[in-house]
Amino acid sequence: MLGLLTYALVNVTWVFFRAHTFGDAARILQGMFGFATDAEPVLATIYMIKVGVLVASIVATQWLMRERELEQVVSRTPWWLTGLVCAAMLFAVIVTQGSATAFIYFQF
Amino acid sequence: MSNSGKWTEDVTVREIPTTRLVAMGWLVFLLVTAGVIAWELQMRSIGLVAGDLDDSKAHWAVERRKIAAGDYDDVVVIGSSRILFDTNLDVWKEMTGRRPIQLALAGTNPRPFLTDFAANPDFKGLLVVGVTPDIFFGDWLGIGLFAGVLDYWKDQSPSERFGHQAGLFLSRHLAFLDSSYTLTALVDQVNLPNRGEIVRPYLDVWKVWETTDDRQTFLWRGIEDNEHLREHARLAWGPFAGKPMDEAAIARACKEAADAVKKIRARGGEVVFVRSPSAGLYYENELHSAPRARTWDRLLKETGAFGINFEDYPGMRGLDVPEWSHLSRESAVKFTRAYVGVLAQDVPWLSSRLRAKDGA
Repeated sequence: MLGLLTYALVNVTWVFFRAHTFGDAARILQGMFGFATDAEPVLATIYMIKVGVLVASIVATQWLMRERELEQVVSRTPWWLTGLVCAAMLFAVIVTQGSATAFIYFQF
Repeated sequence: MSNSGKWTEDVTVREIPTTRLVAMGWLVFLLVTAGVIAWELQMRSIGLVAGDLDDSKAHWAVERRKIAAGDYDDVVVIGSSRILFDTNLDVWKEMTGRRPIQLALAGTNPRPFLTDFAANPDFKGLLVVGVTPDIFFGDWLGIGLFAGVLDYWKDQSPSERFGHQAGLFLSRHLAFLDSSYTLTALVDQVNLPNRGEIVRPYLDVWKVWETTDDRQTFLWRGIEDNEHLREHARLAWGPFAGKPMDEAAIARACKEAADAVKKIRARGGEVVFVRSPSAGLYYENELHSAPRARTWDRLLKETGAFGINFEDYPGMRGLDVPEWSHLSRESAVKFTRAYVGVLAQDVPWLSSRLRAKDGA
């Protein structure tokens, strides 16, 4: 619960980090807590699903790994299953691509 | 096995997991190779091709630098996607002996580029400006993909240049390398019910172009061959509300263009405007939102420049515009032949040079 509370509080503080003015921040916070009743929807369903899945996965992973080390998990998992997961991640990285200009993503 | 979760533990020392790492490595290699091959075959089956280099700021910068180096035939094309897709550079070369530098950018207002060439004292060539009415006569500068390109080509870092060349090498061999068919782009193409009036990202523009060397660009063959993709492309250009364009914005556009044309002509260059074909609901929308008398005719009057509007030439009407905004590859060849023929005859800057070349 404390972890989820921390996550929620960080979500609130991000608003002040990114908003250009306190007025903008107030409007965003109103929307976040359901008080912007006149506002029009702007987020597509697919975006909400993507963010929901990713955030839930990250939070769940952090929670499951809170008293484990990655090396312990890998040692206890069948090698072929770990290989399958690594292959899936590497394949996802390849087909997600990046722009041609960001092929090597570092700046001189 | 070390204990976990204790702050006093030396976390700089990590144990290597006891598992079959070599076997795992081989499994990953085989699965990823099989997956990438399958993905490549799937992408080729829907119309992606190896050699489609995808457009980018870096691709544009390569062409722009040719002008800075003086390594070109004194003809430059700027504009939005219509003149980009509808111009065949080989036909230009065949008809005039000059291969233009293609600097038009999809979804981008060409007026900053016109102003940039006007401010360039070294440019004394022929500037062909494609006019897409709802872009040219408005204040919108363009899509984020090419934002800042006028500075980018000067500031591009060595790593970005190298990255671009490495990307080009891979794109010549792998069809799946396309910014419109990344995993995230494909997820965004899933059509789910949305709240309120939301239509994006499903109705964002998907892949419509195919780009080769020298930024020779065509309407993607997938649009010509696939009815679903063609219908989607048509919808993506909407909504066709027919709202008249702002008069003040049109006035600004014409004034900027007039100032630029004057400067370029003063040093011996020339500017011509070309209005490519459009069709269907898009064309009908343009008739209401940017009627010719308020936009195109006004532009030519205030600039004093020569203009080619497809509506005025029989050879440019009735061409194939599959998704209402861009010509098919075959029709782009015909359109280029038609408009270059008109330029070669009616624009003194070009006709005099062609006569000189023939007489030489």
